[in-house]
Amino acid sequence: MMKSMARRAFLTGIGATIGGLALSRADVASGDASQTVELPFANGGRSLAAYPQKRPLIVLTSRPVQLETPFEIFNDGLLTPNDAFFVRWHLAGVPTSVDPTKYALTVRGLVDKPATISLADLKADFEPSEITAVCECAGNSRGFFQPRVAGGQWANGAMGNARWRGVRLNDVLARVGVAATAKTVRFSGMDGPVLPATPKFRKSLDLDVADGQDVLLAYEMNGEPLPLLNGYPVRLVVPGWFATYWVKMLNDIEVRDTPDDNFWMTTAYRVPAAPCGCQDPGTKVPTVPISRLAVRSFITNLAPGSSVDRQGKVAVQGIAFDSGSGIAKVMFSSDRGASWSPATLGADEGRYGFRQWSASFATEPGKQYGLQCAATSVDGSTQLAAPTWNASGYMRNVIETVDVEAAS
Amino acid sequence: MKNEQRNILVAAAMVATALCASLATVASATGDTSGATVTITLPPDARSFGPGPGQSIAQANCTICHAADYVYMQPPLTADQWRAEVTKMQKVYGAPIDASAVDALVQYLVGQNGKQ
Repeated sequence: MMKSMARRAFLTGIGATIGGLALSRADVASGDASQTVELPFANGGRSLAAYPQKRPLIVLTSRPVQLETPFEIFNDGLLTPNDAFFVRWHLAGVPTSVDPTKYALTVRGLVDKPATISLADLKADFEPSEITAVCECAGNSRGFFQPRVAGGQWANGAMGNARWRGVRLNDVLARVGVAATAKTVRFSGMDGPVLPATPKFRKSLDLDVADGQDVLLAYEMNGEPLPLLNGYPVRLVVPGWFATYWVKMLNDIEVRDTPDDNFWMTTAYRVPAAPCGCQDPGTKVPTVPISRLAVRSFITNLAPGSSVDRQGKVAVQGIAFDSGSGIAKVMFSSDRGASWSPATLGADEGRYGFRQWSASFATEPGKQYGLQCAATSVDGSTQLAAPTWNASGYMRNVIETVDVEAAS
Repeated sequence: MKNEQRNILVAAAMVATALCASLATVASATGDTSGATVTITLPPDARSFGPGPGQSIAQANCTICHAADYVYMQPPLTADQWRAEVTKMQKVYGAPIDASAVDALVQYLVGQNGKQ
């Protein structure tokens, strides 16, 4: 667990500045309305608020709702609790009342037998399937981009790892019979825009991706129905792919033979076509739709600015993930990357999920330490010391640094 | 805007945010896991547009679709960057911003959260 001193450095509140109130997890859990957090970039001041079915989370925006998971929660366990899972809606027309008995999933387009499937039929007619997978927003960590870019200014908490249960999309596609001419599958949900002129949120996957073994229509998350704000009653789960494709409140699947020309595919959520997904600031480059997660790793038990034991061996714990090849190794450094040693990997609980790792370092009184971790995936991709940049602030995966100081 | 004024505004907005957040904690969810209807009540906007020339333009146009926190959570943007955002809202999202109001809106946004 994070030391209380570190937590105080991480969470600050109006109460704290006025009355010197010491903050604790209990205060957060009780939904103390005076809680605020200062994310470490300009205009990073945020309130914490408990939205329906949620514990107090960092409010990025209130309408449409965008909520960030306070980072210390990632140290509590490999599965991110449903009530702590980040929330990101694009358009404010989100249904606030959902009757699951009236839910209907339409499967249409280039299929032999178009179908409308109820939630009960989805559960009864198809074999259940479970997968543990990381859902990460494309713009997770955008606030750390330099130069800064406009968009949702997340710190590192626009991600979460959950055990998803549902039915395989390819079973559903097999049931309706996909035409030989089909090339793509387009998904949309029950949410909509406020203005009719605003493009409805829709996302497309190539058929070979959509028809893969691991893509789920999930109706449970960590053994419970999804919170409404995470897409109740059904959301698409595309393991290894950025969350933009994980369409919430999914109620429409359209099999098509043409590329998707809607705004959310052709303009939004695109990254430079170069393998690094990067570009120099101020340049214009060809782009492609964002796709698979980049390998990342984080220290979870020590917040930046923490004070650690003055002399001894300090334990470090963290998480790593990639797009599903699995984590091959995590290296740890306590001297800002000058020297590295291998961290110990925790049990492999699924190649799409968080992988725990641990390490330790020796301290001397008053000394400062730049803690870093660097993961390498089974497919050979790794994290770099210098951040890459792109115009939309997507796919950050630089080696992060947590500066700590040993008590003097 | 002078720094002092700005700080006062920021502090006032933080208090306002905290007050709204208290409403958030009373927002509720009903329904359960057994197939009953799930209904939630979302709290009101956590932040509104601050005073300044052009406030009413922002209030009338921007808040149709989103709360003011969309503006204040951005890094400080230049006039050109704010203009690009306004143009995107018009052309992509269909915001009904009158062409004659665009310059004033850009100036307002720079005044609220801008840089040179």
